[in-house]
Amino acid sequence: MAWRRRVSKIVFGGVILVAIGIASTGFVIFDRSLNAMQQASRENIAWSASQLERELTRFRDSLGASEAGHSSSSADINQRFDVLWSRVAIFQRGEVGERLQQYDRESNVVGRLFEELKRQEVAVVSISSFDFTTLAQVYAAFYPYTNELNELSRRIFVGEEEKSAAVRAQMRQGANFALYASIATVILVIGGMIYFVLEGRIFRKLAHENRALAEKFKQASLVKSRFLTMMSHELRTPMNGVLGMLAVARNAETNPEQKSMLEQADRSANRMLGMLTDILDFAALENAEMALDSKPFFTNELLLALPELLGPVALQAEARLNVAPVGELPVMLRGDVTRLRRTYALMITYFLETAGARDIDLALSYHDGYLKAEILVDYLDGGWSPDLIFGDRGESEDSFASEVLGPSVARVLVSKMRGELRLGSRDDGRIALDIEVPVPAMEMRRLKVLLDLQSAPMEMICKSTISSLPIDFTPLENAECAEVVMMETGTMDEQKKVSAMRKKCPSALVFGIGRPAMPSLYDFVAEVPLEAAELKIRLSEVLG
Amino acid sequence: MTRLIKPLLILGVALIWGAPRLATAEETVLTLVNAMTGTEITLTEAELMALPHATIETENEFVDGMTRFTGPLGRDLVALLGGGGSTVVLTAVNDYAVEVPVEDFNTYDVVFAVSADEVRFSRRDKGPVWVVYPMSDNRELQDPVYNARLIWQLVRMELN
Repeated sequence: MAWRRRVSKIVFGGVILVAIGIASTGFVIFDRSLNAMQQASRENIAWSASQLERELTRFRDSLGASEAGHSSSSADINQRFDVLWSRVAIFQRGEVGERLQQYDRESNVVGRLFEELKRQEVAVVSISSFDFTTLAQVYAAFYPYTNELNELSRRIFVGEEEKSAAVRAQMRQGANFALYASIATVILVIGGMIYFVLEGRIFRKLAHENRALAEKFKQASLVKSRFLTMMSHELRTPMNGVLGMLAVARNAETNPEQKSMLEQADRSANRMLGMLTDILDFAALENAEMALDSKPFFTNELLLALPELLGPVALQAEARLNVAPVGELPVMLRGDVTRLRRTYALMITYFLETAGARDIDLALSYHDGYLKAEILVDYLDGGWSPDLIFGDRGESEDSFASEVLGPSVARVLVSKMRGELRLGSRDDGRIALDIEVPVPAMEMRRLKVLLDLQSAPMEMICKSTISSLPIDFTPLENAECAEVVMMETGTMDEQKKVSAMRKKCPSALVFGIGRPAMPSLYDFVAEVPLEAAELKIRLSEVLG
Repeated sequence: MTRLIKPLLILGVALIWGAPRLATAEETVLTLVNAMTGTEITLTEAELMALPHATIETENEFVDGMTRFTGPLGRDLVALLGGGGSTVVLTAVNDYAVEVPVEDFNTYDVVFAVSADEVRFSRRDKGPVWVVYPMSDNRELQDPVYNARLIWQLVRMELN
């Protein structure tokens, strides 16, 4: 695959280089042709030469006319003489003069004509129309130049024609090259296109095979995860049996040594059960089967649940655990409190059981929609480094040991909750693990609850149970305003009463307190003794 | 003595005529004609030199290197004839003639040069007037079409 990519690059580079080479050569040839054209389109010196020849003839004609007694005046003769002089002067100046002289180097007819002009100047200037002798002498003096100039004109004409032919040949050559270069470029481009089309097909085929392989591996991984989940689940059942039997054995009469061994066995079994739970979670995360909840919960409950949950672990590790809020926390939040609690528990358990933590402070704070848990850990020096688990994910995966399972699950949970996990340290040497998760705060409004209970004690129990919620108790005469009606169940004419209440408060939810004969009459039933948490959650849901 | 006088007289006349001849003040050197109105203006040497002159510096195939040409501008001569017209026919002393679009004079500073590098043209050297285009400053003028319009020994301009 790599060599194929290299070959493609070389072919592509080669095509580009050859195309540039052909284009450059074509440009050079075109430029040369252009220059040749410019040279060819210079002043036509054959015409200049013929003008000299013509003016000599006209001058001689003017002399001849006077000699023959016609009307050519001395002024006319002089004018013709001056014009002839000027034509000779053209051969002496500028690029045209230089080019004309190239054809006259051997014969030097123009040079000799100029000398003749100078020699005859005095005679011409003073010439009279009736001075036939002088006219004849001057006429005779210029006579030989006529044929020589004619020969010079012929040479120039032929020479210029040859030069034009050379330019035409050069341009033809250039045009031929341009044609061949164009054909070569077209062939090259077509060849390149065919090559890249074929390569494209091969790459598409490879990509298809790669996708199929990836899908195959994904399926294999899925099967593995499912197997892991199933096995973990299956292992938990006998493990619960082991724990149960251990509990029974501990209650039986045992000597201290046996008791110590049983306690050790119980701890190990509990730890294994925890690991199995972690494996289950991890497999569920890998399978992407875990869906997050978004339910209202009380911040206070989270704060109280953590010490309750982790206190025994800290006690066993002989460490101190302190959970406290920092600043003002919203009363209620909306999120997956179970997963949040589990995330914190996994990390703290890891610090206590594996990292040798002596002292853990968990500070919960809230800002800008994020619930931040700052876990400050003071741990025993023992070669453990937080980087071992919080460094690059790759490292922890390479050294994937049982103790890393918890933090790994926690990290994936944080990621699933679109949160962030950061590791740092404090000046006092404690490590600080910040877990920030977006959890929106719930706007607290007061819930209007109507209590329709048979006895005052029952009313007091209910009020006390839900007292932590923002609730306004509505009197019976304002029943239509109530959002929740809590009715005692198991009374006479229960169905009628519920129907009458629903008519009175058409928009209210009716919660039954007790054990109703017909639970379907109620929107929710809270059995007695009241399960405070469940009732509060249902009321919170109404609030949310 | 008389044998000596005749050659001396001839030499004197030759010296007067022989130097590159300039026109006398009264002699017409350039005739301007407006064929549409019948206007004809004949310019003597003095009148030609009295016209406002412009100078351009340019090369062409008939001179050695950059040369300063001075003389009236073509468009000024057309204006002298009352303007209008689309072409001018320029005729040299040897009856060579060329037709030039008036547009040339409006587009370029075409000079009806009477001198090159401050030296007045004689008839033996493109005088009295040489029409010069500013070829060095305008590459498009470096073409045989415009070379043919560099008419020298100009004696007549006719506006049509």
